[in-house]
Parts: sequence; C-alpha cells; structure tokens
Amino acid sequence: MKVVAFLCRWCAYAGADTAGVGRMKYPANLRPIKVMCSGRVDPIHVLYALRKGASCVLVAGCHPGDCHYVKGNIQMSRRMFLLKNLIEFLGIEPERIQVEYISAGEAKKFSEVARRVVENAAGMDGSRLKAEWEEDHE
Amino acid sequence: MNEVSLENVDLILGWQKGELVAKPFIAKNEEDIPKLIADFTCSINLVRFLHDLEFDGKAGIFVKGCDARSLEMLIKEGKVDRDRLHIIGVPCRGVVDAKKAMRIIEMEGLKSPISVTDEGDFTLTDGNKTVRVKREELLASCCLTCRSPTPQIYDTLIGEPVEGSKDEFKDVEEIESLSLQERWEFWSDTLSRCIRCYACREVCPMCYCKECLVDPTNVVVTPKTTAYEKANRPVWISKASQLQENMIYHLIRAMHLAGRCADCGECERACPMEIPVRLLMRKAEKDLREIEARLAAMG
Repeated sequence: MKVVAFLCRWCAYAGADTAGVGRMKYPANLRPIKVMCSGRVDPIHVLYALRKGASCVLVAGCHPGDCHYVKGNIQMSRRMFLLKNLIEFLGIEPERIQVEYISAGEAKKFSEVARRVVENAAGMDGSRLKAEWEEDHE
Repeated sequence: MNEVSLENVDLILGWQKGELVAKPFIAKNEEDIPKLIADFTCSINLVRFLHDLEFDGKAGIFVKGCDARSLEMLIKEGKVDRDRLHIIGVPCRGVVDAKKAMRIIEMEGLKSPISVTDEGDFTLTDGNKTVRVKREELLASCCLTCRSPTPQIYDTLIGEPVEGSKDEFKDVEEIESLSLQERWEFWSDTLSRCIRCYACREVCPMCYCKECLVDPTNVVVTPKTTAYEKANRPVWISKASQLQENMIYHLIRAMHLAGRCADCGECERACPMEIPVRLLMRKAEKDLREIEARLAAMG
C-alpha cells in the first residue's frame, strides 16, 4: 500500500524536513514528491498516481494566505474540491484525495497527517482507478 | 431570411436544410441567402467552426441560446475576436435529437425521405404514414433544461425572445442519490462502452487545444520539435480504451470544462456509443453553482 504525497517546496516539504530533523516518526508508506507549489498539482497527476496503484494521494501546501506564489494553494484547494466531487460522482471514495495545509514549522502536524492518511489508506481496498493490467510493485 | 444580408460581412455561417438535422452552410453570395434556415432542426453548434474558418473582414454567424453561451466564453478567453463577428441571434424553442428521432422512425417503420413539422408537438411523416410525437420525446435532452434559449449576445435578433426553463439538475441528483457502489456500477457500465474516438472533444467548441493532455495520439510536431521532445513526451494515459483510462479521460475533460461548458449538448449528440457525457459536466456545473451561492451568502 502506497500513498503519494505532493508537498509544496516552501511549506509542506519544509515541514517534512523539520519532522526529519526533529526525528519524528511517520509511516514509510508515504512517498513524498516535491513540487514548487501545490498549485502545480494538476488533476492528471493525482489521477495518474491512483491509476498506477497508489491507495491515497495527499496534496499538501501552505496555509491559505501564506502561499509563496500568493494564491497557488487556493487554486489547488478549488481544483481538488471539484476533483473529489467528481470522483465521488463516479463511485470512487473521495477520501482517496486528501488536502492539507502544513507550514514549515509544523513538523508535528506533518507526522500526524502522514499517519492519519496512511491509516485511512490502509482501511480501504485497492483503488478502483488502478488500471487492471498495472503490475503490483509490492 | 429578410433580416440577413451580406452587406457588411464576407460570409455567413448558418444552417441549410438537411435530412432530419440541418447541415452547416457557409453563405458567400446573395444567392445563398434564401438557402439559410433557422428552425428546430438546427442542432449543430456552429461556433466550433470559427476556430478553423479563415476570412479577411467580418463574418456573420447564426447562434442559438446555447451557442451564444459558448461564443461568449470564447470571446472572454480571447480565442475569437468580437469585432470581426456579426452575431445573428436565433431564439430557440429546442432542437430535435436525431438519435431519438431515428429510434422512433425505426420503431414506426417510416421510410425516408421523412419530413418533420413542429406544431407544438412534432409530426413525422413519410407521405403514407404520419406519427405524432410529444415535444419532450423528440427534443434534445439539453433543451429540456435550457436556462437561456434566447442568445445573450447578438447584433441582430431574429424572432421573439423565448423564456428559459428552470434547471434543477434532476438527472445529476438522480445519480447522486445512489450509493457509492451503485454509482460505480453505473459508471463502469457506461464508460466501459467508450471507444475513445474523441468525438466529444472534436465537436466541443470549448476544446480548442492543439495538443490534448489526455490524448497520447495527437502531438503537435513542428520542424523545431527535437527528437528528444518527441521521445520524452509525458504520456498521462494510454491509448487503450479500457475502463480506468476512459474514466480518467472523461474526468479530465470535465475538469477542463468546469465553469466553461455551455451545455450545448454537442458532445452527447456526437457520441456514437450514447454515453451521457453531459452528465459529468453538469455535475461540475452544479457544484460550482453551489460554491458560488455559498460565497454570495457569506458576502
């Protein structure tokens, strides 16, 4: 079981870094991907991850109003809200897409979020969006 | 068509009579003007032809209510120059859905040529046999919930404005009321039919990208494109018309059209597999309206 995490370079990724420096534990199922801004995360990236077999996708950015690029995280939240609604409409659990706001200093929040998302993913069956011919890389 | 003339336009994009459904037609000289029609058979959205049409001066274009909505959006997005258009608005009382009509014709055993007349309800006749059909049974589904059948932007308006009906998104709510599993079954049944012919994208007036994110087969190659670029293009979904790929294709199309879709029903009309393509767009539209209402309430 894998969770793909898109972390924004300025806040969430720095938060993960702080968690590492602080030696806080978080599950190893989380695969962080550094993006310059959470607004860069296109719906296709999220769906691609789900298709390739990720159980859950976490998109984490700066707190609203704190975005390094002024409003990238707001655009991300709008996009993910719509995408969640649409996949729910298709009959895929909307919990597969998680949106969080984590600042650079919130190491504790990052490890809590990571644990929560992984536990949530563990409680679900494999993604319905996973293409049938994709191999398992477990 | 007394109101229409070629006085200050080079050409007029309009409809001409066709069997069951009107055909697109370009009027270039005065003799062509009488051939133009505007009635319940004119289902085709002419706006998409503006992307490929080449003209020097001004062009006239016939638009119905839904076409005007898509044209408005294209003007807003800077894809069409408003100053080079003469918009001829046609208030529309709904257009005939050719697929529904074909089904009735097959069922009743009518032979071509068939003429359809609109007298409140529709009458189909092939000379020998006459069938009367209720209005709702023959109209395209997008016409039944049309908000603005009268064009919002026009230079000339032909005929009297028509009052729109209220859209309550009943079809969307019907799916929403199902459980997650039932919805999955419905959509996997529906979307596994998709053959990924991309007809819905080709006819869409809002889908004007030269290169499509979810179509690995169309790549714009110019002399400047390097071999490296050709080889290393990201391929987000495969060409295979397999359920999950189809779902991602339709999800991405819905995401790209969210808030832009004019609901002209052209995608559903073009679909050879009769997939309710509009339903996903309408779901996005409904959600956006709900957010808008919530934001307006917050002040």
